Amino acid sequence: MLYRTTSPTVACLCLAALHATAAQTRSTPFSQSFSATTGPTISEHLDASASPMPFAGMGVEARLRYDRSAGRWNTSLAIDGARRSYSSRADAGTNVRERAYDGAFTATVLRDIGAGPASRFSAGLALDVRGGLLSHQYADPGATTTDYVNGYALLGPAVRWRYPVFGGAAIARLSVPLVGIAHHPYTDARIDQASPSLRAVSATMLRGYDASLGFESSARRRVGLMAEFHARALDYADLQQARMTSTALTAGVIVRFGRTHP
Amino acid sequence: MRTRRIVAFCLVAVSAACAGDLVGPPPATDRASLFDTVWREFDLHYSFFQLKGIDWAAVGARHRAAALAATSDRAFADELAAMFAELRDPHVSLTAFGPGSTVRYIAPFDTIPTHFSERSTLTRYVPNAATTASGAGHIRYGMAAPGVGYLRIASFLGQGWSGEVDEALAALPGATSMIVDIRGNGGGNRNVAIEIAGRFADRTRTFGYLRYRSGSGHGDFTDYVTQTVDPQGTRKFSGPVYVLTNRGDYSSAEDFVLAMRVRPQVTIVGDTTGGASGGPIVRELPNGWTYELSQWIEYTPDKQVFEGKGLAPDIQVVPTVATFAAGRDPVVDQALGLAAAANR
Repeated sequence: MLYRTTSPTVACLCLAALHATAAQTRSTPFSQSFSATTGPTISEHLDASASPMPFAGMGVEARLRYDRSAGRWNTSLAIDGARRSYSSRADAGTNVRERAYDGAFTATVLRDIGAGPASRFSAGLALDVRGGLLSHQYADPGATTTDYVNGYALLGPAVRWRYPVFGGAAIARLSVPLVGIAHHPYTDARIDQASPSLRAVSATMLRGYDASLGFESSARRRVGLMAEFHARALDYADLQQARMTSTALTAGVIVRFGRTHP
Repeated sequence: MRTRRIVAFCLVAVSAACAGDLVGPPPATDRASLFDTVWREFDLHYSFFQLKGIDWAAVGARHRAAALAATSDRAFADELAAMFAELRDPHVSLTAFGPGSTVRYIAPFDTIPTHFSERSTLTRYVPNAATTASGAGHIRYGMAAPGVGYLRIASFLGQGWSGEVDEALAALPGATSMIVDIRGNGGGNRNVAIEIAGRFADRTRTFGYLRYRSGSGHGDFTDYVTQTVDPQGTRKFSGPVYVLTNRGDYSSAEDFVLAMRVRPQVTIVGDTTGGASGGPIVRELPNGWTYELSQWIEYTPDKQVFEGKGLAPDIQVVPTVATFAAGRDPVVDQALGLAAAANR
């Protein structure tokens, strides 16, 4: 339920701010930037390999991102890490708990296709490589804890819209996987030691998105602040279904360098 | 301006989608849903359908109506347990009402008299037996005869205590041969069993194979996954070893037997083991119940299945009512005779 209240609210607030201040801004003058952000994340997931029950929980997410612009081309490399704690959404009064450690590497190549006097719209491809360790504690008398390892390498279209606001920039990103390789365990991690079950996937069996809406301040300064609302979803129609949604609100610093734009 | 509106709309749509019901609501907890969940989980993961010739669809059809007609949780649990019992697998169990409520199949080896008593054997053959102090006292040890050490390992339950065998071996410096008595050992932690076997290993050896269920078909399994035992621990024992077994040994105790018998100078003495090797996994239901089921098939080094058959000893010695009544343990007697011959 928290998603229902949080995410649209944040999105609408950001959009309102964007429209109200559009006339005050200019584009960022630097060609490269490096940012580090962290903040709370809220997630829900269902991994039928571990349990038929959906789980919900909170955690901490951190992200490092490098952006580079060269002419009309933009590249971005990002590393994400998150630690989450889940509890069962089933009303069974059990001690079922989960801990998850997730990591992702995202490489994006975009080309400006719609540059206006202030805003820039870019489109291209995104490669998203992500993996996770899910440690599931069952409610059996022995409190058995079992690990499940999953991983995905996904490729799909990506778009970015950059709009000057508050002397900085509002940036919206969206990527959607189309094809890739998935490793979703049939059973616990012991089997993974024997043979990873890699499977080619397409949009018919794996759907998802990776979207963010962020703000970068002090566009003319080398060091500034930034905040980002980040949402991810994955729905893998494996024999044992895997579904996950997560949202994160992170903030941190951005350092800009490289030659400036004319 | 139009582009801007489209993008703004997309942003709101994406953000709203984050809030959607992708993950879905918790599964239903009515009896039909619970039954179907359990049935399907077994259908996807249980490893012995083909080996035991079980028509799982027919089993489910037989029990579903009765399960749904159950008038109480207790009656529903009983019907699930009855369905589980058709698998004839002691690694299949149901825990419906918290600790102490676990119900599992009673296998023939659970009820066959073994005519073995740890207490009387220790009293007669190792009267000065000590208990390891470095852990939770999982091992009893002593000298059963001049030059013949004796280790009693009644269970492999728990974790991280395999080092206790180092303490026992260190306390038996005069032992040139060793009796390892695991009779009645119902298994426990497989890692502990193999780590202890590593104290007797001369080099890395393959002691068996596992194949895991890997797909929805009852014959879908991984390739053979090699199982090895490696030398480990601060103490090694390289002399002759006599592992005492009976029908009460199963699960991880059978892994121990497999890991021991691949080494030369190890002799298995006693009766055939129980033959339950499934490697259980835990699953859970939305109502908080948990259950276990076998997920693999284990094979001997020559790729023979021993589920339901057990591992035959090298030298079969089966105690009787008469030997038990006389306070004798013919299995230990046999091992002592072999050790004496080896020490000569």
